[in-house]
Amino acid sequence: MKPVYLKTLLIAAIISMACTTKVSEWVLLNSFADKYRLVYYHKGDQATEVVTQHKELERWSETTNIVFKSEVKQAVSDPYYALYYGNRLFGEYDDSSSVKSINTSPVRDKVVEELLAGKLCVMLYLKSGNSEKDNQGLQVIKKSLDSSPFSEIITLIEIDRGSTTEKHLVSLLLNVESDLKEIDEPMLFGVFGRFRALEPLLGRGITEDNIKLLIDFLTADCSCLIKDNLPGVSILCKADWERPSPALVNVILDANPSLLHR
Amino acid sequence: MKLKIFIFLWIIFFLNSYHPLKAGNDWPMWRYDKNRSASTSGKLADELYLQWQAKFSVRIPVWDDPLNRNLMQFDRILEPVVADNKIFVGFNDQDKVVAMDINTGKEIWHFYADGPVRLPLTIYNGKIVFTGDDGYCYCLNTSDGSIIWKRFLAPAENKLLGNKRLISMWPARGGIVLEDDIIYTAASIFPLMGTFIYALDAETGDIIWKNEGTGSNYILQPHNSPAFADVAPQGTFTISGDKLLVAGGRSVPAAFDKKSGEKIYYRLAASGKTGGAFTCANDKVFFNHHRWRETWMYDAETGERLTKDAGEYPVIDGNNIYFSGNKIRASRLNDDKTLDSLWSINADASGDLIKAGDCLYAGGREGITAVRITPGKVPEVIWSFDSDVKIERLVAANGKLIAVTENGDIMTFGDTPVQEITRLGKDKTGLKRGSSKARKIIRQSGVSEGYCLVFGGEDTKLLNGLLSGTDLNIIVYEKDKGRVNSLREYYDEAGIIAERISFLQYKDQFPALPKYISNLTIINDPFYINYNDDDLLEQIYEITRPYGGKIVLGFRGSERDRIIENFIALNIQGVTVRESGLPMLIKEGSLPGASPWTHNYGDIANTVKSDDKLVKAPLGILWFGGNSNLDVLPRHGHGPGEQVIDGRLIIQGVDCISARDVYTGRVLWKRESEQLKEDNWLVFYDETYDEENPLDPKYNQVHLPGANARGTNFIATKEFVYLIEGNKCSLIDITNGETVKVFDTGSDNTKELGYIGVYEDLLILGNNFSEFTGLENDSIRIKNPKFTNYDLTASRELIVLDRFTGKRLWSTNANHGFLHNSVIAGDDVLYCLDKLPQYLETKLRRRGEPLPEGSRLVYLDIRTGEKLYEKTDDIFGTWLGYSSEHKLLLQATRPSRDMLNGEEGNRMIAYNAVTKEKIWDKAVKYGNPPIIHNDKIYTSGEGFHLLTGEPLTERDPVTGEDLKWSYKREYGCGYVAASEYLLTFRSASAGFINLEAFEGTGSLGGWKPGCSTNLIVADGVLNSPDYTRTCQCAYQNQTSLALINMPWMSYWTNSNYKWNGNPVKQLGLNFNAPGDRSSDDNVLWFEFPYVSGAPPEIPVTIDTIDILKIRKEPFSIISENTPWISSSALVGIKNFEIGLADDNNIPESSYTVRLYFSELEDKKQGERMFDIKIQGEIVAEEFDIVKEAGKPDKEIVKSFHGIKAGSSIKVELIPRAGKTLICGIELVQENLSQK
Repeated sequence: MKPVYLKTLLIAAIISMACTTKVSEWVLLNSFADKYRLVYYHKGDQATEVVTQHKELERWSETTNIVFKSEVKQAVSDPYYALYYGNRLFGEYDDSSSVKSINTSPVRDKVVEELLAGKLCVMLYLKSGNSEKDNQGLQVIKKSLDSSPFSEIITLIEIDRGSTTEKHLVSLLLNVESDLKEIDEPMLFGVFGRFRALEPLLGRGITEDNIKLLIDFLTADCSCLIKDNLPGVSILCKADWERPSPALVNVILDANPSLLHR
Repeated sequence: MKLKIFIFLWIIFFLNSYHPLKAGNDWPMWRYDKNRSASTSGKLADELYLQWQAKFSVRIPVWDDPLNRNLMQFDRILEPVVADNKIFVGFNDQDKVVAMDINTGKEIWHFYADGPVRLPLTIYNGKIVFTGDDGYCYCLNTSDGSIIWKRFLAPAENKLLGNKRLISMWPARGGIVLEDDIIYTAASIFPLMGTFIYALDAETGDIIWKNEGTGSNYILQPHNSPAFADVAPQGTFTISGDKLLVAGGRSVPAAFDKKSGEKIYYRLAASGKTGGAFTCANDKVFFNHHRWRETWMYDAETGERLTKDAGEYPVIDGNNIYFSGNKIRASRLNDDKTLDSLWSINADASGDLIKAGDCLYAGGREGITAVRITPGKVPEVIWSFDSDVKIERLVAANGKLIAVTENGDIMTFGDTPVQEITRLGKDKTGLKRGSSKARKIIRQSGVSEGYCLVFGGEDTKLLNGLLSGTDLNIIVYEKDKGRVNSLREYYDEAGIIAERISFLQYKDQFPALPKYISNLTIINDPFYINYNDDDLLEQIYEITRPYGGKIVLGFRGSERDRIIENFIALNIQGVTVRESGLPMLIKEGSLPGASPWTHNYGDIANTVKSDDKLVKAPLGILWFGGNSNLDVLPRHGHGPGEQVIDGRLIIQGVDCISARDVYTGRVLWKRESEQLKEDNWLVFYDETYDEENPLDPKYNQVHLPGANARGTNFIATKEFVYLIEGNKCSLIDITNGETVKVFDTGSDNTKELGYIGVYEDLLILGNNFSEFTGLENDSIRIKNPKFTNYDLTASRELIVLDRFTGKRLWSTNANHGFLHNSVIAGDDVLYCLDKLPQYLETKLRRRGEPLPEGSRLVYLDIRTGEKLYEKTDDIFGTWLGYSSEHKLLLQATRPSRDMLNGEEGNRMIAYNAVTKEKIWDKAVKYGNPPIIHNDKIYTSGEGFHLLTGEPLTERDPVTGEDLKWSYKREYGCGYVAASEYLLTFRSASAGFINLEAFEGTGSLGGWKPGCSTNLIVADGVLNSPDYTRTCQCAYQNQTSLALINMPWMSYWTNSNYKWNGNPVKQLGLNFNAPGDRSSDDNVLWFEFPYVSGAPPEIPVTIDTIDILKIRKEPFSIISENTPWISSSALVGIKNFEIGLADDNNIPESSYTVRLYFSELEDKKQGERMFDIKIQGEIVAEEFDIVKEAGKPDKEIVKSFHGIKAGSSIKVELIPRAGKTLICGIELVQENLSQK
């Protein structure tokens, strides 16, 4: 496979037009996360305690990329909560307390922390459970990162597909593309901006070339094409994105201009 | 005697007092006063009675589209003003002003201007002033209509076609406002043409101040992106306190200091999607049009918006604001500039609302209602009048209430009943019989529509015959002023509007007419032509339309023969003489150097370039307006761009395709198609398109990949427009829009046609779209499905037909799909990529899965279908382009905004199309369909050598070193297109790169170019059809237009140049210019102070005394080559020093220093003198600009050679009389200039 051919593997456009801000930085600063939709379906009357809980949910939703609303649905036997992204149903929940945990998890908190610290991206390695395949993929990733001039500003986090503490995150990641749930392969998600997960590299697609291209994408000048049609999917998370640290990618590029994409 | 005088004065006083509306209560300007308050203190009687009613025709407003018509309503209805018992009205269709007796309605006098009178009139001291599209401000005597003075507001007499009329290039649409005997007005509605805003002495017409040059300011346009385009004066001006509010057409007005003429603010970008020509004000706030009749309220001090949806057009009575609408709403404006609601009353004020004395008068669908408002009491309806037609304007003056209806009637009400209401309305006489000569000309020329220029107006039978026998728009050039007047009277009486026949009166000079407009030129009088005057003959030929425009010599004798002989002797390319029958000269074929633009990317080779060599900078407007964007697809659907061939521009709408004259904008034909509407659904428009509500500022039509992904669905050729309709291809006669044939593929399985292209006599059709949905396998789409639908990008089979007979010649099937953007042809070879779309290949790679077999690059003999070559390695991308000159095939992708996911541009391969060998293969990043421009490739912002793939370089204009070629593009969708000398694109406004000079990105400011690519150079014209349908942005103008090269026109660029600190070889500093520009000898001139774009970082220190900045339009300056340098200046400079190198220790070298001057303050000889020192040495003593130039506004250049300078150069100006003034400085290192 010729290296120049591999350039075609970029997930979204990299062109050097007007903007010299890097993709990772521009998206973090300017691109709001897509909102999930949490709907409470009920027959009509809401008990006082439910109203109180929903006021709390509204406050809770202010720090999360989620919109909460109630809808009357006569066909409902018992009230419930449903979580959507676009037209896709993510999950259904019986009560508000189980809803409140869907926006946080240790890994998500860590990812948010790393992105706000100015990291280029976080690579989430979702292991398949097949240790041979998982180890093979992990070695490729580590080798790629070791040889990358941006290794210091990329955080690698491994997640077990069966993790109970990260079950919501795993579910969210497996919804980045519609058929991921049926694929028993390790997956590598590049996460950048305000928790935007790119379409993953899968199994044999986890190669050094593909990882390099993923990094290239994030370190390239941002373009209108990116701004118009941002690749990837927003992941549900709790975060305050208002005051991120300066992008560390600029420090590396300033010190090593040869790394600039021309 | 004294007693008699006393009694007389008492009687006068009594009579005045007795009259309900005092004699002083005229209605002297639009909406009564300078604030446009619509509020007069004069009372009307409690009961009013209709006295008379005059019938006029319904107005046809200047602009063509619903949104424009709503935003700029200044000539929508008749707009009366009143003084001294006379009503005065301007007419946009008969180019006249009429005075009527207020008591009888009878006409007292009328006056014809030399162009449409579109803006309301203003009266003062027995004078009436108004502006016209002819570029003039007229002042007439109100008693008899005689001219008192006439001020030319335009800088020259040049004409263009504007809104279907022959008008000034700088139409005066600054609706006059008057205060303290000063008139404020303006000419020009396009900043690129220069704008001219005036304060005139109302008594004499003398200029008090003139603001020119502001139009070129580099300011933020809508989308917060900059361009050289400031306010474009269009609409009625208003005064608010010490500010002149200059109506900005479709935008919120700009504010100027009414004393000095300096601009204070113009918040074009900040104001957002609102604005319009209506403004009314008090000293604190102003109300400006939003949509329909709604207004938003702004702080007059800052221009910042205070309140959205304040209410419909209000009456302003101090701090009492009465809003019109379906009911009247009263509000109070507080000191903190907030509004408190007071009361409302049900009275239909949906047409107009005014206040006279203590009554509000509301006009609407049901008639007129008078509401008395007494402090402390409930408002009460005291009088009403029922009307079947909507009342659109009310005026209260001289004891009368005047109402204007939507159907063009003027009704006048008085305080006493009349026995019989007078009904006025002239029956038009109609046309008298035309002459046989007219019939002969029509028959033999074969011209029956378009523009006709007649030299000499004596033969009215000829004119009558042309009018009755054709649909021509006739322009008569007549030297005799009296004859012009009588002809105007004659045709006005006949009921023929000036759009059909208008008159140009020039006694001693040939009118400066636009090129190419005349379909038929009739020289009817030998007096108008001198056969020896080659310049005149050439001018007449230039005016004539290419592709068959006719010049008929309508007189006999040897003079005629000599003229024909001399025309032939001029040896002009394209001229032919038809001797049989009526002798005529015919302008055959295209303009020499012109070239067409067909297919979506210029030609079937996908070069994205027109070979047109006529269009180059500077550019000026040839025509604007006159057609509607309703016949064009919504701008964000990114449908196919226009195609231009043989003087016709073909453009598609949602359910139609139409042809327009490239040289006039005239609609030639329009063919509607329900099938097209069905085909275009979800391709070029979707459910977000709301056709029914063009005024709603919502986001109408989301972005679609449209033709970027699908390719075009029509091809224009000399004979036919080939249009895909369902599974067939219709051949539409390009001359008349009639379907003459319908081709099918000959296959039973054809559900739809995909690709379409024409190569010589062959028609290439894609049989059915390739479906990739199975591969995508993403049934529940998270991403925007519009940008992941690849099923319209490729065809399953290519079928080649004889394009004249429809005979099927050959076909070939795809393994995956022939990607439409890659199906091209050249030198009898058809090239195409048969593969998956890029994103799907990317997805497979990302998942570590192999690509399916069968991806290939194929070369086919286009005549037989024989496979000449097939390549299966290095298959990538979605795009092919071909250079016939270099026999080079370019493989690439097609990145641009609004393109399908995955179309990144990061690789190109060039093949030798003959040997099939790879010439180069580069990992280069780019953002445009690659433009093949002779031996270069241009993309968005960059360029490459076609033969090597290496980046283009050029000479650094300042240091002479090598520099990577690049340019900057501001905001704009659509891809960059090329012609021989220009790259054109939207860059906030229309933008261009002059490929002949290093000067950066130029602006053509003042209108919105398309969101889909529409700036196409072809047939000698930069075409810009209005491809902005559904756009609500407040660009100064929203219209179709065409531009041509005008060497005398100015333009400005943002060079985006950054100096690297190495020794300066040459540069120019253009003091107080709006932007950069290169001179003919390739010196890059930077504006100083640096105001447009990023500064070049060339250090300049300056020491001044009371600095004053002056800028005029270059047009105003006499200069052979560089009026754009000498049209702006800094006054009061003591000295300035320019850094020439970062290194302080570089050795000295010799420079030639040229200093540019022009007296821009109209000083006389001796009033401004100064010594000039360079590097401490006196080089000129008591330099007097006027003395040396001979007059003000004339350039004088002082050259000084052998000036030694190292790391800097210093120039000192030492005043001797008055203040110093300097326009520019040019430095050229002498060893460089000697080279």
